[in-house]
Amino acid sequence: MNGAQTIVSFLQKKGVNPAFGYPGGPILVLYDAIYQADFPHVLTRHEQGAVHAAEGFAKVTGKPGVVIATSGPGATNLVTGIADAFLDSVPLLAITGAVARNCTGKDAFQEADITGITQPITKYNYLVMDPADLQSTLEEAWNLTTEGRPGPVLVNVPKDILAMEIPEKASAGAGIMRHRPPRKKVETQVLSVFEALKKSKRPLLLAGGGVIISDGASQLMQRFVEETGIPVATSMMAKGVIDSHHPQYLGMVGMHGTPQANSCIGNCDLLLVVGCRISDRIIGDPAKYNTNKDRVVIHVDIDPAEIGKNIRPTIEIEDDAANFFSHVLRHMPDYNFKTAWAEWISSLQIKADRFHKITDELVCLNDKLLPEAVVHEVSQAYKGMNPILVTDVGQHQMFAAQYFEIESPRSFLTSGGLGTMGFGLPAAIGAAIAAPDRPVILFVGDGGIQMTIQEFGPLKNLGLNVKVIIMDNQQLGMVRQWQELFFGKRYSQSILDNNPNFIQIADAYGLQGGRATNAQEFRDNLAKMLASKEPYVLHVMLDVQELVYPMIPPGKNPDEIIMPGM
Amino acid sequence: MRQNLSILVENQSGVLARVANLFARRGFNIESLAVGTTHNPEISRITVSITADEEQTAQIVKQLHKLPVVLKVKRLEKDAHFSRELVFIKVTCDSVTRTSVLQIVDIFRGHIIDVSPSTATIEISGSSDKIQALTELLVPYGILEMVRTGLIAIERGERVLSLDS
Repeated sequence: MNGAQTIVSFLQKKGVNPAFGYPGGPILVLYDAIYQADFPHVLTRHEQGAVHAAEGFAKVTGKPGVVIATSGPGATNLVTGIADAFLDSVPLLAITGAVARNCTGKDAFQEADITGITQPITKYNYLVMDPADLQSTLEEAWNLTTEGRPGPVLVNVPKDILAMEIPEKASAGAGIMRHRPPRKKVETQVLSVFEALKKSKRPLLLAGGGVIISDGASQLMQRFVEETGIPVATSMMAKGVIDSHHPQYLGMVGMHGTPQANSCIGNCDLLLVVGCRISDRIIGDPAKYNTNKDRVVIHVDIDPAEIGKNIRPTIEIEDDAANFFSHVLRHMPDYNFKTAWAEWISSLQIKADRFHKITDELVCLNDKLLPEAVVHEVSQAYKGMNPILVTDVGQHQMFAAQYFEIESPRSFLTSGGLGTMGFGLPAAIGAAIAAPDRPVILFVGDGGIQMTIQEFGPLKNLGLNVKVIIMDNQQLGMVRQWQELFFGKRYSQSILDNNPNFIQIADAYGLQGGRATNAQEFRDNLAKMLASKEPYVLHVMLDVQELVYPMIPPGKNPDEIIMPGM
Repeated sequence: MRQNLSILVENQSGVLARVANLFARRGFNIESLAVGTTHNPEISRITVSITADEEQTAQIVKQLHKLPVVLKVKRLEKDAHFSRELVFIKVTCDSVTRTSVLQIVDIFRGHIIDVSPSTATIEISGSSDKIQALTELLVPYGILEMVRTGLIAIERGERVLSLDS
C-alpha cells in the first residue's frame, strides 16, 4: 500500500462516512486512492466550505469530522474553520497534502508551512517526514481529536510519502510514556460542593458547551437540577441541554442573554459552572466580576486550563460534565434546598415574567417582519420534529439563539467562539449529511450567505433537507447595531443595499425558493418549506431597524443589561 | 515575580518552537530559555524563566501540559533550587588594564579563556545576579561582545525531576 491508500484504509477502518474536501496538486495521489476505493467524499466548492461542513457533521454526531485539502492555498483556506473548531471544541481531523520532501523549505509551487500556521489553533499538528510514522501518526491524531476536550488536529503529508510504498513494519509512535499531572479525586470534592450549596442563598448553575459535548451529561444535569431545585442558565453553546420551558431554566446568559439569567449570574452568591470557559461575551470584565470575594465559584471542566483562566474559582474540579453530575447525584444529601432558595427563585421568576411579557409581543408576526417573530414562527412550525438549527453569525444568530426552541443536545450549531461569518451554509450541509432524517434549518444573514454562497452547489447535488432562511436587512446588522449604539450612527461599510437577487441565485443552482416581504408571503413560503423534503431557500425581507436586545454593553457587568421596556 | 520552570519534553524537531510559541501566544514574556538533551537521548529539558504572578504561572503550567510533547512541568520553588548561566564576555583590554581585569574576574571566580593584544575573553558561570554584577564592573573597560546560555536550574537535595518522579 502507498501512503494515500494507507490513509484511505485508515479512514475506512474508523468508519469515516463521508470525508469533506477539495482536490489539488500534492493531494491528487490521495484523491486517486479515494476514487479507486470508492471512498465516500463530499466535494464542496471551496475548502472553507469543506472544513465547516466537517464541523457541522462533527457537532451533530460527536465523531471527528474529516476534511481533506491540498497544500498551499488549499490548506490555508482551512485555517478559519480550524480556528473555529479550536474555539468551539469540535473534533476535527484535517489531512493536507504537502510538497514533496525534497522541496520542503524551498518555497516550491503551492508550498505553505501549514503546520507552522496552524500550530496555535490546533490541539496538535504533524508534518509526516518518515513514511514509517504515517500509520501511528494518523492513529494518534484521530485519538487526540476526541480525547479530553475535543478539538482540531492536522496531519500534513508530503506528496512523495503519499505516493511511496509504506513499510509494513511501521514505527510504534512515541515510545515514551506521556505523563499528565494526576487528577484530584472528584469524590472527595463532591462533599465540598454540597457544603457550599447548603451555605448558599442565591445559587446558579451555569451550563456551557461542555455539557452538550459530554455524552449523557444533559440528562444527568436535568436530574440534578430537579432534585436540588437550583436555577439554571446556559451559555449559547449549551442551548438544547435543558428543555427551554423547564420552570428552573432562566435562559441564555451573556451579551444578548435574558435579563433574569444575567441578573442571576451578576447577583448569585454561588456559581456552579460546568463545561464553560466564561468568556468575555458572558462576563464583560472578569476583573470586575472577581472583585466579589464572597461569591463561591465552583468550576468544573475537563480542561483544567479553563479553570482559573477567566474567573477565579473557589473549588476546582477537573472532570467531564457527565462524570461530575453522576458523582453528585450519587452523593445527594438529605437536605431541602428548595425551601432554602425559595425567595431567590421567586425573585428570578418575577424578572422572567416581566421579560416574557415583552417578548410575547415581539414574536407576533405582522407585516413589519420582525426577526424575533420570523424565528418564532419557524420554531413553532417545526416544533416536535427535533430540528437541527444552524446559524451564521450576527444579529440573526442572536435572534435564533433567543427565540428558537432547541429540543435536544447537539441540535444548535453555531460559530460561538470565533464568530465566523460564512459558517452557516456549509455547516448545515454537514449536519444534514449527519442526520438525514431530521429537518435542518439554517438562519443566515444577507452578509454571511455571500461569504459561502457557492455551497449551494453541493446542497443541490446532494438534495439535502436543508431550509435556508436568508434574514435580509440589507446590512451587516450586528456591525450596524454597534455603529448605531457606540459609533455615533456612522455606518461605515455596513450597508448592503445592493444585494443580489438571492432567489435568482438559488434558481441558477436549481434550488427551490421564494421571497417574503409581508406576513402572508412569509406564511405561504413557510408552508411550502414544511411540505418539502428538498432544499428550500426562503428570502425574508426583514424590518431593517430592529436591534438585538437584551444587550449588555461591552465591558459592563451582567446585571447592567439593557432591555427596552424593562 | 520571577519564576523558573523546568520542562521535560520529547526530543524531536519543532518542540522548542511549540513551547516558545505557547508562551508568546498566551502573552507571557520569556526572560531566559535554555534547552538541551538529558541523559536519556529521547528527552530534552527546557529551563524557562518568566516574570509572572501566581495565577499566570498556574495558567501557563496548565497550558504546557496540553502539548502532547510536554512530558513534565515543574515550578521551581525559590531557594529550593540552584540556577546558573554560562557567559562569555569579550572586553577591551591591553597591557595597562590587563591586571585589573584579571583581578575582577578572579574575584568572581571566572576565567580568562583567550587573550589578544587588545582584548580578553572571559568565561563565567553563575546566577543572574552575579553575572549582572560582573558586567557592571566590566563596562568601564569596554565590553565588545557578550553571549549567554540562558539559565539552567536544578533542585537541591534528593528531589529529582524525571518521568517517574
